[in-house]
Amino acid sequence: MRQRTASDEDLPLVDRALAGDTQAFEDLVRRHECRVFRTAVGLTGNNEDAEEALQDTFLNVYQHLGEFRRDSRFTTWLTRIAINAALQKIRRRKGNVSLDDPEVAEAEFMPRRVESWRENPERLYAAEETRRLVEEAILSLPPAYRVVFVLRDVAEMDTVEAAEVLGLTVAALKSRLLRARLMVREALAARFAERPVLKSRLVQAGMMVKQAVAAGLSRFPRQNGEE
Amino acid sequence: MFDCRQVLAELSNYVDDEVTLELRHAIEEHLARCGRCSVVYDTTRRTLKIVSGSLPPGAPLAVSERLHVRLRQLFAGGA
Repeated sequence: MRQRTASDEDLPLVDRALAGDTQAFEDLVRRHECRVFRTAVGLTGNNEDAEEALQDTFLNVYQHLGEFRRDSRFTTWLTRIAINAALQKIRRRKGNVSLDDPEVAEAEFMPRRVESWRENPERLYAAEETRRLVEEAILSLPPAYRVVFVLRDVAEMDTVEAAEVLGLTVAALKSRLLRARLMVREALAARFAERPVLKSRLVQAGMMVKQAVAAGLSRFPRQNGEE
Repeated sequence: MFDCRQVLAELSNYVDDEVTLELRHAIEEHLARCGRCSVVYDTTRRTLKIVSGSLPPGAPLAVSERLHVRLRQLFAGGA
Protein backbone atom coordinates (compact mmCIF):
# COMPACT_ATOMS: atom_id res chain seq x y z
CA MET A 1 0.00 0.00 0.00
CA ARG A 2 3.06 2.23 0.03
CA GLN A 3 2.31 3.53 -3.44
CA ARG A 4 -1.25 4.55 -2.60
CA THR A 5 -0.06 6.25 0.56
CA ALA A 6 2.41 8.23 -1.49
CA SER A 7 -0.44 9.57 -3.63
CA ASP A 8 -2.71 10.37 -0.67
CA GLU A 9 -4.02 13.81 -1.57
CA ASP A 10 -5.04 14.47 2.06
CA LEU A 11 -1.51 14.40 3.44
CA PRO A 12 -0.63 18.06 2.76
CA LEU A 13 -3.71 19.16 4.74
CA VAL A 14 -2.94 16.64 7.49
CA ASP A 15 0.60 18.05 7.78
CA ARG A 16 -0.64 21.63 7.99
CA ALA A 17 -3.30 20.67 10.55
CA LEU A 18 -0.65 18.93 12.66
CA ALA A 19 1.42 22.11 12.50
CA GLY A 20 -1.50 23.96 14.10
CA ASP A 21 -3.29 25.30 11.03
CA THR A 22 -6.96 25.01 12.05
CA GLN A 23 -8.17 26.24 8.66
CA ALA A 24 -6.40 23.27 7.06
CA PHE A 25 -8.19 20.97 9.51
CA GLU A 26 -11.54 22.52 8.58
CA ASP A 27 -10.73 22.05 4.90
CA LEU A 28 -10.00 18.40 5.63
CA VAL A 29 -13.35 18.10 7.41
CA ARG A 30 -15.24 19.77 4.57
CA ARG A 31 -13.63 17.42 2.11
CA HIS A 32 -14.89 14.34 3.95
CA GLU A 33 -17.91 15.30 6.04
CA CYS A 34 -20.49 14.27 3.43
CA ARG A 35 -19.12 10.78 3.09
CA VAL A 36 -18.77 10.38 6.85
CA PHE A 37 -22.36 11.55 7.34
CA ARG A 38 -23.69 9.17 4.71
CA THR A 39 -21.78 6.31 6.29
CA ALA A 40 -23.22 7.19 9.69
CA VAL A 41 -26.78 7.49 8.33
CA GLY A 42 -26.44 4.10 6.68
CA LEU A 43 -25.16 2.46 9.84
CA THR A 44 -27.46 4.10 12.39
CA GLY A 45 -30.54 4.62 10.22
CA ASN A 46 -31.35 8.13 11.42
CA ASN A 47 -30.12 11.71 11.12
CA GLU A 48 -29.84 12.41 14.85
CA ASP A 49 -27.45 9.55 15.62
CA ALA A 50 -25.61 10.23 12.38
CA GLU A 51 -25.04 13.88 13.36
CA GLU A 52 -23.67 12.86 16.76
CA ALA A 53 -21.44 10.26 15.13
CA LEU A 54 -20.24 12.87 12.63
CA GLN A 55 -19.24 15.27 15.42
CA ASP A 56 -17.64 12.52 17.52
CA THR A 57 -15.67 11.38 14.47
CA PHE A 58 -14.07 14.71 13.69
CA LEU A 59 -13.50 15.66 17.34
CA ASN A 60 -11.70 12.33 17.68
CA VAL A 61 -9.74 12.87 14.49
CA TYR A 62 -8.65 16.31 15.72
CA GLN A 63 -7.53 14.98 19.08
CA HIS A 64 -5.74 11.93 17.68
CA LEU A 65 -4.40 13.22 14.37
CA GLY A 66 -0.86 12.75 15.66
CA GLU A 67 -1.55 9.02 15.97
CA PHE A 68 -2.39 8.66 12.27
CA ARG A 69 0.37 6.41 10.97
CA ARG A 70 0.85 6.89 7.27
CA ASP A 71 0.82 3.18 6.47
CA SER A 72 -2.75 3.60 5.19
CA ARG A 73 -4.66 6.32 3.41
CA PHE A 74 -6.08 9.09 5.59
CA THR A 75 -9.61 8.14 4.47
CA THR A 76 -9.05 4.53 5.59
CA TRP A 77 -8.11 5.71 9.08
CA LEU A 78 -10.93 8.28 9.13
CA THR A 79 -13.53 5.71 8.06
CA ARG A 80 -12.51 3.34 10.85
CA ILE A 81 -13.07 6.12 13.38
CA ALA A 82 -16.43 6.98 11.77
CA ILE A 83 -17.59 3.35 11.93
CA ASN A 84 -16.66 3.14 15.62
CA ALA A 85 -18.49 6.38 16.35
CA ALA A 86 -21.61 5.10 14.59
CA LEU A 87 -21.41 1.71 16.34
CA GLN A 88 -21.30 3.50 19.69
CA LYS A 89 -24.60 5.19 18.84
CA ILE A 90 -26.14 1.86 17.87
CA ARG A 91 -24.84 0.20 21.05
CA ARG A 92 -26.44 2.91 23.14
CA ARG A 93 -29.81 1.81 21.75
CA LYS A 94 -29.33 -1.87 21.11
CA GLY A 95 -26.59 -3.10 23.40
CA ASN A 96 -23.51 -4.89 22.13
CA VAL A 97 -22.99 -4.93 18.37
CA SER A 98 -20.31 -7.07 16.80
CA LEU A 99 -18.77 -6.82 13.34
CA ASP A 100 -17.71 -10.47 13.44
CA ASP A 101 -19.24 -12.55 10.69
CA PRO A 102 -22.40 -14.08 12.16
CA GLU A 103 -22.19 -16.90 9.58
CA VAL A 104 -25.49 -16.14 7.92
CA ALA A 105 -27.14 -19.34 6.69
CA GLU A 106 -27.52 -19.62 2.94
CA ALA A 107 -31.31 -19.60 3.30
CA GLU A 108 -31.02 -16.08 4.71
CA PHE A 109 -29.77 -14.58 1.48
CA MET A 110 -30.91 -16.89 -1.31
CA PRO A 111 -33.45 -14.97 -3.45
CA ARG A 112 -37.01 -15.89 -2.57
CA ARG A 113 -39.02 -13.13 -4.18
CA VAL A 114 -38.42 -13.41 -7.90
CA GLU A 115 -41.36 -11.47 -9.25
CA SER A 116 -40.38 -8.48 -11.37
CA TRP A 117 -40.69 -4.93 -10.02
CA ARG A 118 -42.87 -2.19 -11.36
CA GLU A 119 -41.40 0.63 -13.38
CA ASN A 120 -39.81 3.19 -10.98
CA PRO A 121 -41.36 1.61 -7.86
CA GLU A 122 -39.80 4.26 -5.62
CA ARG A 123 -42.14 6.84 -7.16
CA LEU A 124 -45.10 5.09 -5.54
CA TYR A 125 -43.93 6.44 -2.22
CA ALA A 126 -43.11 9.91 -0.97
CA ALA A 127 -39.34 10.52 -0.84
CA GLU A 128 -39.29 10.28 2.98
CA GLU A 129 -41.20 7.00 2.83
CA THR A 130 -38.74 5.52 0.30
CA ARG A 131 -35.88 6.68 2.48
CA ARG A 132 -37.46 5.01 5.52
CA LEU A 133 -37.95 1.75 3.58
CA VAL A 134 -34.33 1.83 2.45
CA GLU A 135 -33.03 2.60 5.96
CA GLU A 136 -35.11 -0.21 7.43
CA ALA A 137 -33.85 -2.63 4.80
CA ILE A 138 -30.24 -1.71 5.60
CA LEU A 139 -30.86 -1.86 9.36
CA SER A 140 -32.29 -5.35 8.99
CA LEU A 141 -28.83 -6.62 7.96
CA PRO A 142 -26.54 -8.16 10.59
CA PRO A 143 -23.94 -5.43 11.45
CA ALA A 144 -21.06 -7.34 9.78
CA TYR A 145 -23.00 -7.20 6.50
CA ARG A 146 -24.50 -3.77 7.04
CA VAL A 147 -21.08 -2.15 7.37
CA VAL A 148 -19.88 -3.73 4.12
CA PHE A 149 -23.02 -2.63 2.28
CA VAL A 150 -22.79 0.91 3.67
CA LEU A 151 -19.12 1.38 2.76
CA ARG A 152 -19.56 0.08 -0.79
CA ASP A 153 -23.09 1.06 -1.79
CA VAL A 154 -23.87 4.06 0.40
CA ALA A 155 -20.47 5.74 0.89
CA GLU A 156 -19.30 4.44 -2.50
CA MET A 157 -15.86 3.45 -1.29
CA ASP A 158 -13.88 1.14 -3.58
CA THR A 159 -13.58 -2.57 -2.81
CA VAL A 160 -9.88 -2.57 -1.93
CA GLU A 161 -10.12 0.32 0.51
CA ALA A 162 -13.34 -1.00 2.09
CA ALA A 163 -11.59 -4.34 2.67
CA GLU A 164 -8.64 -2.52 4.23
CA VAL A 165 -10.90 -0.46 6.51
CA LEU A 166 -12.52 -3.62 7.84
CA GLY A 167 -9.38 -5.77 7.91
CA LEU A 168 -10.94 -8.27 5.49
CA THR A 169 -9.53 -9.88 2.37
CA VAL A 170 -11.05 -8.58 -0.87
CA ALA A 171 -12.62 -12.02 -1.41
CA ALA A 172 -14.27 -11.98 2.04
CA LEU A 173 -15.51 -8.44 1.48
CA LYS A 174 -17.01 -9.36 -1.89
CA SER A 175 -18.71 -12.43 -0.46
CA ARG A 176 -20.34 -10.37 2.31
CA LEU A 177 -21.28 -7.64 -0.16
CA LEU A 178 -23.12 -10.11 -2.40
CA ARG A 179 -25.09 -11.48 0.53
CA ALA A 180 -25.81 -8.01 1.89
CA ARG A 181 -27.09 -6.82 -1.49
CA LEU A 182 -29.32 -9.85 -1.88
CA MET A 183 -30.76 -9.34 1.59
CA VAL A 184 -31.48 -5.64 0.94
CA ARG A 185 -33.04 -6.56 -2.40
CA GLU A 186 -35.24 -9.12 -0.66
CA ALA A 187 -36.37 -6.61 1.96
CA LEU A 188 -37.28 -4.01 -0.68
CA ALA A 189 -38.92 -6.56 -2.97
CA ALA A 190 -41.76 -6.90 -0.47
CA ARG A 191 -42.66 -3.27 -1.21
CA PHE A 192 -41.56 -2.78 -4.79
CA ALA A 193 -42.70 -5.96 -6.50
CA GLU A 194 -45.85 -6.06 -8.63
CA ARG A 195 -48.74 -6.05 -6.20
CA PRO A 196 -49.72 -9.64 -5.37
CA VAL A 197 -53.33 -8.43 -4.89
CA LEU A 198 -53.40 -6.95 -8.35
CA LYS A 199 -51.77 -10.07 -9.75
CA SER A 200 -54.34 -12.40 -8.21
CA ARG A 201 -57.11 -10.15 -9.53
CA LEU A 202 -55.64 -10.40 -12.99
CA VAL A 203 -55.49 -14.18 -12.68
CA GLN A 204 -59.10 -14.14 -11.50
CA ALA A 205 -60.16 -11.96 -14.40
CA GLY A 206 -58.27 -14.26 -16.77
CA MET A 207 -60.14 -17.28 -15.40
CA MET A 208 -63.47 -15.54 -15.88
CA VAL A 209 -62.62 -14.73 -19.47
CA LYS A 210 -61.55 -18.33 -20.03
CA GLN A 211 -64.80 -19.63 -18.52
CA ALA A 212 -66.86 -17.19 -20.58
CA VAL A 213 -65.04 -18.18 -23.74
CA ALA A 214 -65.41 -21.88 -22.90
CA ALA A 215 -69.12 -21.36 -22.25
CA GLY A 216 -69.46 -19.42 -25.50
CA LEU A 217 -67.57 -22.03 -27.47
CA SER A 218 -69.61 -24.87 -26.00
CA ARG A 219 -72.70 -23.28 -27.52
CA PHE A 220 -71.24 -23.42 -31.00
CA PRO A 221 -71.16 -27.16 -31.53
CA ARG A 222 -74.73 -27.35 -30.31
CA GLN A 223 -75.77 -24.63 -32.75
CA ASN A 224 -73.87 -26.38 -35.48
CA GLY A 225 -75.54 -29.63 -34.54
CA GLU A 226 -78.96 -28.02 -34.70
CA GLU A 227 -78.43 -26.94 -38.24
CA MET B 1 -22.76 -23.26 -19.63
CA PHE B 2 -23.38 -21.38 -16.36
CA ASP B 3 -26.09 -22.54 -14.00
CA CYS B 4 -28.13 -20.33 -11.64
CA ARG B 5 -25.80 -20.89 -8.69
CA GLN B 6 -22.71 -19.82 -10.63
CA VAL B 7 -24.50 -16.72 -11.88
CA LEU B 8 -25.66 -15.80 -8.39
CA ALA B 9 -22.10 -16.16 -7.08
CA GLU B 10 -20.88 -13.63 -9.66
CA LEU B 11 -23.93 -11.34 -9.51
CA SER B 12 -22.30 -8.67 -7.37
CA ASN B 13 -19.16 -8.56 -9.51
CA TYR B 14 -21.30 -8.41 -12.64
CA VAL B 15 -23.34 -5.48 -11.26
CA ASP B 16 -20.04 -3.71 -10.44
CA ASP B 17 -18.68 -4.49 -13.91
CA GLU B 18 -15.79 -6.34 -12.31
CA VAL B 19 -15.86 -9.51 -14.43
CA THR B 20 -13.75 -10.63 -17.34
CA LEU B 21 -15.22 -10.45 -20.84
CA GLU B 22 -15.48 -14.24 -20.92
CA LEU B 23 -17.38 -14.34 -17.63
CA ARG B 24 -19.63 -11.52 -18.81
CA HIS B 25 -20.61 -13.51 -21.90
CA ALA B 26 -21.33 -16.63 -19.84
CA ILE B 27 -23.50 -14.65 -17.41
CA GLU B 28 -25.38 -12.83 -20.17
CA GLU B 29 -25.99 -16.05 -22.03
CA HIS B 30 -27.57 -17.48 -18.85
CA LEU B 31 -29.61 -14.34 -18.10
CA ALA B 32 -31.06 -14.39 -21.61
CA ARG B 33 -32.60 -17.80 -21.04
CA CYS B 34 -33.33 -17.75 -17.28
CA GLY B 35 -36.24 -15.54 -16.23
CA ARG B 36 -35.59 -16.07 -12.55
CA CYS B 37 -31.94 -14.98 -12.61
CA SER B 38 -32.76 -12.14 -14.95
CA VAL B 39 -35.30 -10.77 -12.43
CA VAL B 40 -32.83 -11.17 -9.56
CA TYR B 41 -30.18 -9.32 -11.55
CA ASP B 42 -32.53 -6.54 -12.65
CA THR B 43 -33.96 -5.99 -9.16
CA THR B 44 -30.51 -6.07 -7.51
CA ARG B 45 -29.27 -3.41 -9.90
CA ARG B 46 -32.36 -1.32 -9.19
CA THR B 47 -32.00 -1.87 -5.44
CA LEU B 48 -28.59 -0.20 -5.50
CA LYS B 49 -29.91 2.69 -7.57
CA ILE B 50 -32.83 3.25 -5.20
CA VAL B 51 -30.58 3.03 -2.12
CA SER B 52 -28.12 5.51 -3.55
CA GLY B 53 -30.83 7.94 -4.65
CA SER B 54 -32.96 7.92 -1.52
CA LEU B 55 -30.38 8.58 1.19
CA PRO B 56 -29.17 12.14 1.77
CA PRO B 57 -26.22 12.92 -0.52
CA GLY B 58 -24.32 14.37 2.41
CA ALA B 59 -24.60 16.27 5.64
CA PRO B 60 -27.47 18.79 5.54
CA LEU B 61 -26.27 22.41 5.74
CA ALA B 62 -27.45 22.88 9.34
CA VAL B 63 -25.67 19.68 10.42
CA SER B 64 -22.46 20.84 8.77
CA GLU B 65 -22.73 24.28 10.38
CA ARG B 66 -23.20 22.80 13.85
CA LEU B 67 -20.16 20.57 13.27
CA HIS B 68 -17.96 23.51 12.35
CA VAL B 69 -19.21 25.60 15.30
CA ARG B 70 -18.24 22.68 17.55
CA LEU B 71 -14.81 22.43 15.94
CA ARG B 72 -14.12 26.14 16.40
CA GLN B 73 -15.02 25.80 20.09
CA LEU B 74 -12.49 22.99 20.24
CA PHE B 75 -9.81 25.07 18.50
CA ALA B 76 -10.49 27.88 21.00
CA GLY B 77 -9.75 25.44 23.80
CA GLY B 78 -13.38 24.75 24.79
CA ALA B 79 -15.16 21.41 24.94
